[in-house]
Amino acid sequence: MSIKIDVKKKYKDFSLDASIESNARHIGIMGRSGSGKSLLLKCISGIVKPDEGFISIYGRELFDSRKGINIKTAERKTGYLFQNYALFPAMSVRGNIMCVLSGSGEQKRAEAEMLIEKFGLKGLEKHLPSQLSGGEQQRCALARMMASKPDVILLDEPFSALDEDMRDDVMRELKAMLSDYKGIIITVSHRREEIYAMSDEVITLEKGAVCDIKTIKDGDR
Amino acid sequence: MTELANRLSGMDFSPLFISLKTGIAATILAFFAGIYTAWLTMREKRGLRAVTDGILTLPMILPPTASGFILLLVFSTRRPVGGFLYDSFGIKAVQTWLGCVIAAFVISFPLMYRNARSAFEQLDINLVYTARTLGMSEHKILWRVVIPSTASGVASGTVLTFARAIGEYGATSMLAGNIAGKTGTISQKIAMVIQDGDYIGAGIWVAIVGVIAFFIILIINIISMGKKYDKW
Repeated sequence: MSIKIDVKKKYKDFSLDASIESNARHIGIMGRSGSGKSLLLKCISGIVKPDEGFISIYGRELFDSRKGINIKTAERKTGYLFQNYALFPAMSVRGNIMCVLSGSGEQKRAEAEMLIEKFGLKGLEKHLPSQLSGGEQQRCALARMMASKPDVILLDEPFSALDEDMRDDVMRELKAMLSDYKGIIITVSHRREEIYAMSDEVITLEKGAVCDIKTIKDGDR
Repeated sequence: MTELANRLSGMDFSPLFISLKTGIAATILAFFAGIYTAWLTMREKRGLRAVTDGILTLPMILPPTASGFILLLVFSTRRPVGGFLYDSFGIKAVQTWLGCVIAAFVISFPLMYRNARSAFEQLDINLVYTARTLGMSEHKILWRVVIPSTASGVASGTVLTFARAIGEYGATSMLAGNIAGKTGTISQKIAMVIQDGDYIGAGIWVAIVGVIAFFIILIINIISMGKKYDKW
């Protein structure tokens, strides 16, 4: 299994109790608002600690309450794309990417240039996040995320901050940009068409529990 | 006018320099201590945060003379802590310039801490979460993400801290005393010259403090307006 999750988490008056095992590389988690989708992503990334259970990705145990394992968020290698992209507002596009990279100054600059080129940010390097459009902000957040070389990418409602008429284009762009990514991509959304376009397997969450798992064939898209 | 000119030409400006020197040293200490404690309390659970916050803010609520009394108890060379510092390291706070800095630091620290914490509370928490998922260390997150994103709040906190530190009187007089040229700050000088009935001397020092205070407020206003300034 590429991903094995079985977690329980009580959060305010909500209770998440989800069990997922999947071999798919592109997993979609669908559910209404308040169904626990984002909470599940936060458990995977380590932002929220589950009350009990385990999370393993490609056999690497990120969390196991019985064994006392709880890898720090910074060491989990999970790229998290927030709905609002969470770009660092005081840093330029280049600064947002460079601050994640390690190595010598020259290595960092070269790698940042490569990511700027790949994610279509040429000419925007010196712009602050507030000077970018929604699509540009998303590309910048993705470039920054790829700079951290994650094992798994978590996309939390990746198109919700975009205008309706931009979504299809950005979705196509996003798929193209992530086409050579070898890790697992977990997309969370309440929109069926987004989940079907982005995933090979769709997991439906309802009131914090998995209620359906479906493999997507090309005809379903 | 001639009398004022004569007074100015023969004036000892050491209280101004001692106040500025004390203010700068105390502000540097309070800046780092305030930011780190605010950062640490942001990571605490609600109940513990309320208790820690109460303790850290205490010097702002207590009368400065009460804080000064506690400092005197701690740093007196006849007491365990003060005695240990003096015997082991030769550090003496009572009736020294170091005492001025410690008193100003203790009294002004809550301003830095509370302003930094308020600025941190306004920050989008997802920026911190994202930085963690990107593998950044907590230290790097604080100085590369949090501080630049809350710069105006932290900067106005720093200026207010400096203002409080240079104006400190109660705790300073208790711990450092009022030794001319050594621990005599502007605030202490004003109190002393009024006791002597020298109203012109007091007026000159009040004018100097007034000019400094005005520039501090001006700097705070410029920082808080930032680039976004809309005229109604």
